[in-house]
Amino acid sequence: MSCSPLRLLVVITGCVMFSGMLFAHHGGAEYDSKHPVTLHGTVVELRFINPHALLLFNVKDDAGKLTEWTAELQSPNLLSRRGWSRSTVKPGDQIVVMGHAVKNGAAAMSASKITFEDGRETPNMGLPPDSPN
Amino acid sequence: MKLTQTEKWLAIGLMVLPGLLALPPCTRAQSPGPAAAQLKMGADLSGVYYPSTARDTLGAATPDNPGQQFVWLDDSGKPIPFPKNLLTEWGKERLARNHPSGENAAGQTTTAYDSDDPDFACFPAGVPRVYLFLYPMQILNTKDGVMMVFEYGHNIRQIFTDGRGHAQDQEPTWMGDSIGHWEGDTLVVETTNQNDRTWLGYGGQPHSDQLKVEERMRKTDAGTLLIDITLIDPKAYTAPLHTRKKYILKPSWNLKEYVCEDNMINFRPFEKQTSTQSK
Repeated sequence: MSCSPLRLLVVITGCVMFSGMLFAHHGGAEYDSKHPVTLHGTVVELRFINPHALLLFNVKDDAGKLTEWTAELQSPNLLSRRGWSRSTVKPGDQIVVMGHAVKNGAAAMSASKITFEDGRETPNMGLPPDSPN
Repeated sequence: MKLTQTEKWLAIGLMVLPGLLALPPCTRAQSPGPAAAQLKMGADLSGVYYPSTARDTLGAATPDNPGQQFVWLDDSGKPIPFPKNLLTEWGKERLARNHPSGENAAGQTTTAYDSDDPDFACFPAGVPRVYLFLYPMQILNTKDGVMMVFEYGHNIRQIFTDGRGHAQDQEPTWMGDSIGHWEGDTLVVETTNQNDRTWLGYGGQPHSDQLKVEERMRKTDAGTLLIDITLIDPKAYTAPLHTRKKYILKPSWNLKEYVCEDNMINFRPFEKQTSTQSK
């Protein structure tokens, strides 16, 4: 199996427990749920629009080449109920995106957790618990 | 001027008639019928609810998809896989024809983009699949029953409890025709007249236009709504199917806008990018 330099940036983080494919509007079959990935990059744009927010971010490989990745997040309706807004991450922010890459090899992934490089966290992106709020 | 007897009565009638017309409607005599039937509320189910995501037998079929598949139950209430063995020949043919998203036994993936799931084309989900989406639902009390408004796709169900019957001789609809009554604190609902274009879940599980959905909805505590569901569809299944759905009351929530067609504008290009079959 060959690995591109970009692929080498994809750190397999099998020890991290993810909440799985929680996409409310489609099944999530496009993602490789067996192999979680973590990518480090720079935010290009957050599209906070239904049915799923899309986060565009640039990832630099060892040779300095930039690739624009797209991460699928939950719906803005759900994210906003968890404390997200359209400016939770902004263009230029240095971020770490954890999730699962698509099976077809495109620069696309699901995102189950996003943190900032400085250690700050974004609000929980999981489904609401069985509680009144 | 001398009036005949007939003219006298006519004159009296002309004087009284405007007064009669001016009377408020409630003072007019009513004939008994569905419109006049007393609307009795067994319990107040109103509020905004979110489907339970607890990983128990009510909320989850698989650990990775809480709430996104029905948990089918046998006659004793024990969880079972989708009972394929109950499919009729018609049902088997329909199941084979449907092309759901997911991974088949051979490990081949069909993505949302490659699927013919009616949900991905923004059609209303039908009953009971409308319960499978992880978005809130609001129950409202209306003058003739109960209305369920679903954030996902803005689907609505009107459940009439005023004594009327099902619609007769009408084309089937996506969400069907729901008639209910109260048995104590339980709202008992029967839904018929659905078309056969919706599925029972993401797996392409079929139903026919003969489907009858029987539901029993009740609050098990102040914050929990439990819905027992029985599907009777002799064209597609040789015996009734049973499932159950739990909703959690969210007192501080309100519904938000969710326009499914946004999927086609904003999300379809991304879905195409993730496709395993189309390039």
